[in-house]
Amino acid sequence: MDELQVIVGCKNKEGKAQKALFDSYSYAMLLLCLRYVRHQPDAEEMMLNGFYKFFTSIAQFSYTGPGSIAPYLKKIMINECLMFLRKKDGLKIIDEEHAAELAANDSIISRLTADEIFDLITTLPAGYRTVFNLFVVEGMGHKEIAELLQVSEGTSKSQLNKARIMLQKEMRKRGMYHEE
Amino acid sequence: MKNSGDKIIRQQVDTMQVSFDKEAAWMRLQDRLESKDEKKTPFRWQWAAAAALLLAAGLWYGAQGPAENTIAVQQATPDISQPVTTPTHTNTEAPQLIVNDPVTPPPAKANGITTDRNLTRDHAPVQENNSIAETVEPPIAMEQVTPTEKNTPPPVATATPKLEVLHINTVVEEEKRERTMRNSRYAAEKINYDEIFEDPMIPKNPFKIYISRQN
Repeated sequence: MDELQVIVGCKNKEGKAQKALFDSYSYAMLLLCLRYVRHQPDAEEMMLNGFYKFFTSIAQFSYTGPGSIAPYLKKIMINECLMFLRKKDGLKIIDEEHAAELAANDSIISRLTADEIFDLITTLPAGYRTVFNLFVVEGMGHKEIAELLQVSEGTSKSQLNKARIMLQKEMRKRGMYHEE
Repeated sequence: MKNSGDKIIRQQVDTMQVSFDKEAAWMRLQDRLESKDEKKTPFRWQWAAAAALLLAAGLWYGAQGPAENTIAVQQATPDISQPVTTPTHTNTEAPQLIVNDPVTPPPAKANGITTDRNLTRDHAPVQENNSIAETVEPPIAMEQVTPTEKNTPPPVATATPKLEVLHINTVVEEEKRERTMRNSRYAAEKINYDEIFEDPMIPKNPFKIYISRQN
């Protein structure tokens, strides 16, 4: 069953098609949610909420070709996670315009495992973590992030910079980071 | 500015391994999706069923209502020799009227009352002669002044109604007399006032003059 058939089946509320789509994307979406909300039960709930919204409002989705489902689903999941964080933690991002670009040390990061990176990300406070995830992992620009979080671009840059500094500190603490 | 470190992070986070029961999660999601669908379906069925029931009830009421009604009234008027109006000529009363039920108080409708009066007179026990029965039994004097009997000749007057009529007549006459006197006095006063206001020599204080004239 290709993607188009799956989408057509989902639009016709066919359980088989829905299951196929869920099997294909649920794990990736769970990882995405985990990066934002940290705890797996919460992440699973967000992922299920996202799929539920996708299936119930699938009429609004227009399939444009292979690979067009994942970005749409990601958007839904990110929105779900942000809503959850706003409700639970408040997700307060303080406006800070002074941001200096801080380049990540690639050689160190490339030596880290996925679990280590995930652990490091989850140590960040919600605001820093969200901006870091949106910029580094999702590949969004500062303008897009600023619109999504309703902050200024400068704030987004500042939050990202602070997130990087915090990550370096955490890596130093764990003995992963050494000044070269 | 995106650097290669970010790219590595992006690649790495997607390869992360977590324990995840996909089937259980799917079951949960399926339950939610099905419950949403179920919520919709019985809602439509409920409306359809309710509409059908209402229609059936309406049809039954239309077909059965008047027939039962007549039977009930016939049962309720065992002695047709009584000079009272029987409700057989109208079909507007409630169809479930059970007149012989000693527990249920009769409704305060015209036909029901008529039937009840019969029962009170002939069959009903004394303690059942409640307030409704009292209001139903009108005194003869009241019946004389009802507008429905305007064209009928005055009924045979007993002692009590005659006195009442006489009393009413005297009261009316007294009131008439008083009203005539009052009107004539007002008329006189008006003329006086007019004269006073027309006369420029007299100061315009009618109250004072009125008192003086009265004195």
